[in-house]
Amino acid sequence: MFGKRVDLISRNVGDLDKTKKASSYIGKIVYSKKGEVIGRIYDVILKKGVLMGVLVRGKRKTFIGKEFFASESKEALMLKIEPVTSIIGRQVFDSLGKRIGKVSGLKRKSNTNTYNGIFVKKSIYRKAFEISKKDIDVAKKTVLLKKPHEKAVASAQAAARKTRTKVKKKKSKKTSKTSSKSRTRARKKK
Amino acid sequence: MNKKSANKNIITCDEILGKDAIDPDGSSLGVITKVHVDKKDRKLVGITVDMGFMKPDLYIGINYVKQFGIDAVFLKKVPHHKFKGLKVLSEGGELVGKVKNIVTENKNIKEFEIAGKRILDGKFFIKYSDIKEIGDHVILKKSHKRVSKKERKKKNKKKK
Repeated sequence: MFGKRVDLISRNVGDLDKTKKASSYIGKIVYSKKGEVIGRIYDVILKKGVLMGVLVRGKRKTFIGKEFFASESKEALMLKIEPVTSIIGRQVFDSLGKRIGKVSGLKRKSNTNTYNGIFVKKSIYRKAFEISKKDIDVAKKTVLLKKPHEKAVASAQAAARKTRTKVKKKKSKKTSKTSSKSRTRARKKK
Repeated sequence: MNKKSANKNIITCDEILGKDAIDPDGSSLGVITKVHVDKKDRKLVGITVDMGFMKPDLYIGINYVKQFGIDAVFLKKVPHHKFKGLKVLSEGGELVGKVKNIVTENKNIKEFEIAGKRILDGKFFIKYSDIKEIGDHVILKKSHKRVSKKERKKKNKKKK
């Protein structure tokens, strides 16, 4: 791979043949766990000189961490996962077989390969509505829901309301605590 | 004759034709082009799905239809025919060949007949248990075994 004419100047690397070029990743096709083509690697990301993951250009540009690499060959890189971002753009059908729209975005808490819900848009000019993950039956080539469209949207809205009220309660508790503390301080000063 | 509004469960042929047929994995097989009716029993027997350009039409019996939806028809099972023509990859992602045929036993997939990447590779068989994943591509396990046509014939002769 490196040829015989490479002079070695290093303390840590004894044999170059046991190492790998970062550039060897570039151009490889990335397949998901089920064999879906995600795209091609166009760059490699390092952190303090250590490989962290690769940048893939397909329908969308995505960064995939090296912890999700399953195996690789000369031409391809196989992943352990089905990237959640691949759902974006897929059609959504409800339990009655009605086409609701397309997935416009995902509701995610962190950058892990999970999602809490999806945002669906019927057309460009319409507002996106949320559907929670528990109402989704299948999310592969198309997204199939467990419930009819109206019920799924209503349950998602109810869940959102609940979370909002929880957050409000927490905030009010915090403010009440701080106000009580300030009152006690004021009394002490007096 | 009853009016359509009298029974909401009745749909017309027009409402079925042109709809997408969707398998349990959520992938669209194609568009419904025909509806088959038994002349004697006067009942719906099946549907024909147009799988696309250069692909043969697929007949699906009514027993495999789960639901006639508003915009799509849902199926109960993934048809084996869907796997024909899929590319076969090794565990590392190298191209091995294409699925040429599917060998079934009691309606279950037993083996895949695969045409090799090169002409010299010829055709060979791979057991269903040696397959890791099936999706857009068929992915083989690391420890898969290729059985050539000759070997298979020999085995079958021994069995007989």
